[in-house]
Amino acid sequence: MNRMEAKMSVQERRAWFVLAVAVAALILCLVLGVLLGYGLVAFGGLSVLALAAGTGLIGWREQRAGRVMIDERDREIERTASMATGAVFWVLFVAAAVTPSLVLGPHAVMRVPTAVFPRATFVAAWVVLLVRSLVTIVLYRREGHGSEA
Amino acid sequence: MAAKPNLTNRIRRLRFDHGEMTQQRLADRAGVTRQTIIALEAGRYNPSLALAFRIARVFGVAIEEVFELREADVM
Repeated sequence: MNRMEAKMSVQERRAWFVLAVAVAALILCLVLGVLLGYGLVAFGGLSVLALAAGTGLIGWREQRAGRVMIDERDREIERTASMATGAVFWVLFVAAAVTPSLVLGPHAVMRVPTAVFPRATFVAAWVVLLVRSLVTIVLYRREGHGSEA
Repeated sequence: MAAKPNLTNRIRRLRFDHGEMTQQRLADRAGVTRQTIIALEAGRYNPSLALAFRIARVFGVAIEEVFELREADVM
C-alpha cells in the first residue's frame, strides 16, 4: 500500500483523477485554441474528458486484496456530490436557456454556428466532472484523513 | 431543525484492548474502508445503525459500550 492509498479512499483518489482530467482538458482547449483557433477545439477537450472513464482502474489493488472499496460513508459523499452537481448544472442550464431571450428579446432570431454544439457539450461535461470531483474532494477533506494507529 | 447527533465512541480504546487491532483489520471485519474507521475515531463521521452494530459485534460488546450519545443532544 503506497502513501496515497493509505491516506485516501478509492473514491477520493478517483475524484482527484477526474479533477486532473478536467484541468488537463481545459488546458488543452486553451492551448489548441491559441494555436489552431477555437473552431474545433471542443473535440480535443471532449477526447481528453473521455479519459475520466479510466477511474474504473483506480482501486484495483484493494479489489485484488478483497477489501471494501466503497462503503456507506463514500456513498453518502457521492450522493451529496451528485446533488450539488445537479444543482449547479441546472442553474447553468436554465441561465444558458433564458439569457439569449433576456438579452436580445423574445422575438430575436440568432444564427448559431454548428461549432457551438460540441462546445456546449464540452462545457456541460466539463462542469459536471469538475463540480462533482471538487465537491467530493472537499467533503473528504472536511472529514480529515487521520493517521494509521 | 434537529441538531446533528453528537456521538462519541471508544473505538480506538477497544482496538488497543483487542490485541492492538489495526484500523485496517477492524475495517475489514466491519465491512468498511480504513478511512471510515479513521473518520469515526476522529468523531467526524456518525455511522449508520447497522455499521454501529457491526463494529460492536467485532469487539464482542454491546453497542452502548462503543458509542455514546451526548446528553445535551437527547434533550
